[in-house]
Amino acid sequence: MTNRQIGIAKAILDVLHDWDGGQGHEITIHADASLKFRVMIPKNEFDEIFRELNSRGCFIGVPTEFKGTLWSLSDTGKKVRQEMA
Amino acid sequence: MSDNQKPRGTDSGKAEAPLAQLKDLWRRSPETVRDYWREQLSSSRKLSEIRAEILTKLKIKLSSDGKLSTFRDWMIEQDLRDAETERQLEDHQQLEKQNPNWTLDQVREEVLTRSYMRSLAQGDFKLGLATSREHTRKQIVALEREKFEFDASKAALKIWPSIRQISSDKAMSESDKVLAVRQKLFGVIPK
Repeated sequence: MTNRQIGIAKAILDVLHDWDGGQGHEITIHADASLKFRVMIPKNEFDEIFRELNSRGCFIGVPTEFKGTLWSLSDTGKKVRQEMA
Repeated sequence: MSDNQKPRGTDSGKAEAPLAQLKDLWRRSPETVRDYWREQLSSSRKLSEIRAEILTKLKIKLSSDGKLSTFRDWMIEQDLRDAETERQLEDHQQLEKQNPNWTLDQVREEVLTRSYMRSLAQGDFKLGLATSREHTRKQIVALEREKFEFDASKAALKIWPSIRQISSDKAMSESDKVLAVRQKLFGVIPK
């Protein structure tokens, strides 16, 4: 990962950490992570890093009937975030 | 939130804290059950009574009313996030209708931009609150300083003869004079 990618990954994990066990839609995560990153993160970059973190088991995704999948931070995600700090 | 939940653990093997258990249960509960607890938490019932009910029905023991209060704040934030998700879905449907020639990516980009602007506005509001708190804190510090200076001036006037005597003492160095006046004004100086 480049420094920029690590910064975006950290912003994503920080958003979920701030939610303190809460869950939200990918777009909400993208918007809030952009706010942390201080600039709108381009969709392709966000998607790539989100997929990468998900493949590492950083998230818990709960599919819902009407709202798509809602995401929260897993124990692995907490560890990865700590390693990035 | 039903009462037949098995105790959950973390990766480290430790049992989850009661507050974390409650949040986890909340995430997995149907809306009707959530509504019941929302009603309880927004009612005039004592928090201790609700805690007792949580213990009986959900087998989760919250150690203090403060923990339940923390949960209530968390629940409100989660509800706000859920409302934001619904708003995004509405935006999505509306944009698809209004722009039938847009690709899904274009629609999502616009939904995201709107969500970002809302987050930004909310972030600014939170930042505004924090700034306002900091401003108030600085005002308090300034007032305390003014009060201290005023009290110090009053005290100096009271002991003016002693100060004049110390000041004219040729046997004392400047730093000894300062220490002596401070001691007269404020008593024993902590080391």
